[in-house]
Amino acid sequence: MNHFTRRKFLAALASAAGLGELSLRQSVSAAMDAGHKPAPVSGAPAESAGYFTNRLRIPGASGLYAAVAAKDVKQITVSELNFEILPRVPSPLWAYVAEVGGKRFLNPTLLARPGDQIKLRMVNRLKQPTILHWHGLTNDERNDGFGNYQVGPGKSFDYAFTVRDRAANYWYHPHPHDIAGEQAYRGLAGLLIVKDDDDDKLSRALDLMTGVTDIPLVIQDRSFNFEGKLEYKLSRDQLPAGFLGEEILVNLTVRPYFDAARRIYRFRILNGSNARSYRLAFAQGTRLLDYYLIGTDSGLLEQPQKLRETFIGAAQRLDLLLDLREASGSEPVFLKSLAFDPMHNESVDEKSGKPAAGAMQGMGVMPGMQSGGADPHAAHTGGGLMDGMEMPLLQINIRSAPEYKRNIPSQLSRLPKLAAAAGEPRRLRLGHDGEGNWTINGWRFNMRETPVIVQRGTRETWLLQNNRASMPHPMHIHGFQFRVLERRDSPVQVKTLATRQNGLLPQDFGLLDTVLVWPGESVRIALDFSHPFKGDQTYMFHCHNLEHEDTGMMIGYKVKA
Amino acid sequence: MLHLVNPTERSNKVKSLLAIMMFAAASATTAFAHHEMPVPRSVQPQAPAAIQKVITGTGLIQQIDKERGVVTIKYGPLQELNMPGMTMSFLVKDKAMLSSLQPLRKVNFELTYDGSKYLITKITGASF
Repeated sequence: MNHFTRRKFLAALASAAGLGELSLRQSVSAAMDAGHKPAPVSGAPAESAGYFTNRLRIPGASGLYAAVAAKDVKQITVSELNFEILPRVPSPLWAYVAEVGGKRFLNPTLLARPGDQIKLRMVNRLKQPTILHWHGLTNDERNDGFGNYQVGPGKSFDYAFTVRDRAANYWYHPHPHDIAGEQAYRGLAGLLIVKDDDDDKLSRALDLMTGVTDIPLVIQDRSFNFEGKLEYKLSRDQLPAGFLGEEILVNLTVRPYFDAARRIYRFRILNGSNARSYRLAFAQGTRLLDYYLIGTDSGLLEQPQKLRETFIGAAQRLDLLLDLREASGSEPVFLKSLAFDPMHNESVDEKSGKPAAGAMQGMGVMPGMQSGGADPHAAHTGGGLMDGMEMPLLQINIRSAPEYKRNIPSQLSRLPKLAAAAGEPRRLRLGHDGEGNWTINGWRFNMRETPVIVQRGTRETWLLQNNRASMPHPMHIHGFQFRVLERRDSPVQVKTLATRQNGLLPQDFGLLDTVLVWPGESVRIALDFSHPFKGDQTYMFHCHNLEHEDTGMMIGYKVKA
Repeated sequence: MLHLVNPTERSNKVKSLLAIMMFAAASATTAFAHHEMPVPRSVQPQAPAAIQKVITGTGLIQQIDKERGVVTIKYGPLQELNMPGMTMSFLVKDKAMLSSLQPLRKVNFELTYDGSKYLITKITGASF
């Protein structure tokens, strides 16, 4: 068809353009109006009836996310299959497939207790190399699973380890060199939930039941092509910020709703997105509900912390209690991400922290609009879902009011005593090289190098300093869990959520394996490099924005025996 | 592997078309093609001479406005026009056509020129 006809088509569309303003997500404007300040809840039209039309997928007896004892799983096959993520629209999906007792599990929720022996074979049926990483677990380097151990198509890899860590919501996902982002995006991710006596006690106290009132929520942003198939595409100018999807999925359910009772629920939340952070809140109309943070990456806090909002970066987990008795009437409650400044501040002047001449920064950047400076980094969006915009994630309908008189216990668990190292910290600066590459102390990943060497059995303080000309980086360390000692120079939207103790956020009082470090911020973390593994062990320290990881924002570090 | 989309690979012609289309859509909807540029008034397209043309497409519904009779579709290439896919809003000929549709459903549709504008005259759930 010739150009002339196309022009006519376009002209005819133009003449039909008197349709008036119609935003795909009217909450875009709410986010833009919010500027850089924490925004009030605006009751976006996406929360109106008919938007959340799909029942939330909850782990059942088999299938997606179904729970199974980890020690009963002998093989996980990394598979390409078809799956209806959108109703009645099959899409290619990559999944960890296990078969136990005649049942088939996709990305099973593996259940374990401290001391359990896990022995299983990973079989790679992809057309590219892969390796499975046990995120958050203390393992020797081989069982940790990272790129140096990746296996090619048709090959397998055997894991055998003891669960040494405290009860927590761990997870597993791919960790091959350079292609972890695509593999995780296409579906490869599952939870490993370790339970112990403290966890059991809480379940009894609140009468919680797995899959009914104790529910994992895996939040991921994804894009679909015009045929409804998962699509992973980035332009070069989008790559530095990482992938941002056009839809937010919870448990691989698009626009999900959940029918609940007026009682306490436990939500074990994993931000399984490649790059996106969320500012989580529960809202009923314009009112934010209180909720309780009870655990972080590596298990229960000592005491519950009452909150109304908190950030969660990629790969982090938050364990929350929501008491729906505090909701009024029968109006739905929404789990949502409040508007925030995503701080794509790659173009600011490093010394002053002010925007470079002609550069736009921060939130409210629409597709096609880019930083005006010469900097190669350009804040971008995923379709209509800008990074940092207000968005509802899950609709919770209150359907019943059973007899329920339980209260949240004041004491949840005991954390290992925090013992910080004396002396100067090891400094690790997060930045970029001005050529589109994110770096740690100026380093980019080289699988043959371990620029950081620590001594087994010693304690260290690491000072993670993010440049002002940067963006938020969720920094993850393999092999060891850590505590946060201090946050300094946090941006206002973070500082307003901080406690009076060393600028720490409520989640900083838990054990972590991933910490979100904002532009201009300095975060001191305490590490204890004691472990039972003989010989030198090499682990990874990297940004869990998976596109950052894939493009080199990662270093190997060696624990000398 | 990252599937990088290099915007410079697009021909100027397609860029220009996108730009015009973006103008066309500007007051209708939020559209999501990247790298669009504002179009000066001097290049605004003129209303076409009367043509009767039906264009068929396949896409994923993004949003439905039943009151206004508008549906936003992320559609694939329009073969008849040799046009790349994108996301746009369209008027439907009859609002009742939207009653059985839901967001994020795959549909086949027909656009028909009525002498002054293109309208969706047929839209049905797509089979696989």
